[in-house]
Amino acid sequence: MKAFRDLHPACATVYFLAVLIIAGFSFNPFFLVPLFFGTLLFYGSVKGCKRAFSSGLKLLLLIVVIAAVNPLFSHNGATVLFFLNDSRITLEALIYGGVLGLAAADAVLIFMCVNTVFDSERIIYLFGRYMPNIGLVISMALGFVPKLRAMYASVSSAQRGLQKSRVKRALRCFSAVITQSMEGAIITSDSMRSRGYGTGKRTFFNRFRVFPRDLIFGSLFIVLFTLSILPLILGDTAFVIYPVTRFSAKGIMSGFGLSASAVLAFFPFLYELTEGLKWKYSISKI
Amino acid sequence: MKRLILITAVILTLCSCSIKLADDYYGSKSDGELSAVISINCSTADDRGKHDGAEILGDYSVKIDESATVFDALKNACRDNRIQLDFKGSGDSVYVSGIDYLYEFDCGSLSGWEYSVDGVFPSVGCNAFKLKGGEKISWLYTCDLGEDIGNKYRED
Repeated sequence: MKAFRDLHPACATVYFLAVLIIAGFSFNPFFLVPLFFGTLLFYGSVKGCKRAFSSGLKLLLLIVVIAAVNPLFSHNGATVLFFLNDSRITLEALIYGGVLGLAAADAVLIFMCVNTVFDSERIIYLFGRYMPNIGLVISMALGFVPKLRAMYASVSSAQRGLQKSRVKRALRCFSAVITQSMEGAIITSDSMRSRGYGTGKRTFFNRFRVFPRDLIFGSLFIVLFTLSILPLILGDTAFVIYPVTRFSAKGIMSGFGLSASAVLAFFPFLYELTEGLKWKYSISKI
Repeated sequence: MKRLILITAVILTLCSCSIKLADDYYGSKSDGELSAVISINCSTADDRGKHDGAEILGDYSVKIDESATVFDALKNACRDNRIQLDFKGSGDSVYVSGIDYLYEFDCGSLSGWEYSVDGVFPSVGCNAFKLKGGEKISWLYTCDLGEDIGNKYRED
């Protein structure tokens, strides 16, 4: 299913910017945990359950490692678990590490989802009109890593019989890949110049149309984002960790904020789900 | 071979750590032949509302070992009185970053903990200053690089 992908790129950009800001600045598990599961479920609905499960496990491991390491460096906090060489290992430091890891895992997950939604066409479309050069560079740079990987795999398989030592083989492959990609860059630039890139004003073709649903969803994202970020700015949903962990949600705004961020987190997955069901239902009618 | 070295290193590291429960740690009173008087004060932070109460520890006579340092005295005093203490580093370069949940930089970029011995602010780390016994140590919180507690920072 790729229903969320069919939304207008600007609409998806608004969504991803909103969740990225929430993940980066909230530092509050009540915002971060729904975001973790929402983005993971969305990733699973696009890429398959198996890949989502394995990356979810890896990210959980990341959270556990950061949570376990933080108490070794931070000794703040009132609840002492035990003393390690005159340094206190506290529950609060563990919680702080967990929230920190959760925020990092959320950011990674969001970018994984961004990669499933945005292809080079969408990136060039977004940046193309205002910053054509930056758009082209971003799109090319994003394409470079998988390209280099594929190139390395093919060179390495060709070298396997020739060179016994693994280190030497890796070095030779690396140098071959670098040479090949540099040559490729020169050819690319020559080709672009001979076709007259940058000589005149460029026209731009795209298939993206703004449908009413894009406007509706875009404004919905903005409203939900404002609702969830307002209590954070006003300090209504304060999650204080040191010296004693406490979560205080005061006022009706904080309730709105928490539910708005949860809706925002699960929106792509739910949209994907409903569109999938609609598709299934329409087939069975035929 | 590699694995053996790794396992030995892990075991050695674990053996060099002492793990104690909070009650065990705070239960044992400090002990030693010498003693010093120590006080911890953060009136500067209290004035700005960053800490409840100015006096964290009034003049307290703490038992210390021979050739103990100012840091050892602070550690013992904090253990006897169940005061939270956070420090970084080891050896001569121990740095006290927080006492009683009041940390460096809590009152701006020039704030942190400093110590004086018999009214003089030594310009060495607290774990490099050896005590002879009978000194009066005060740990003071500054919000202005020492200027507000009578230890003006000099360029030299």
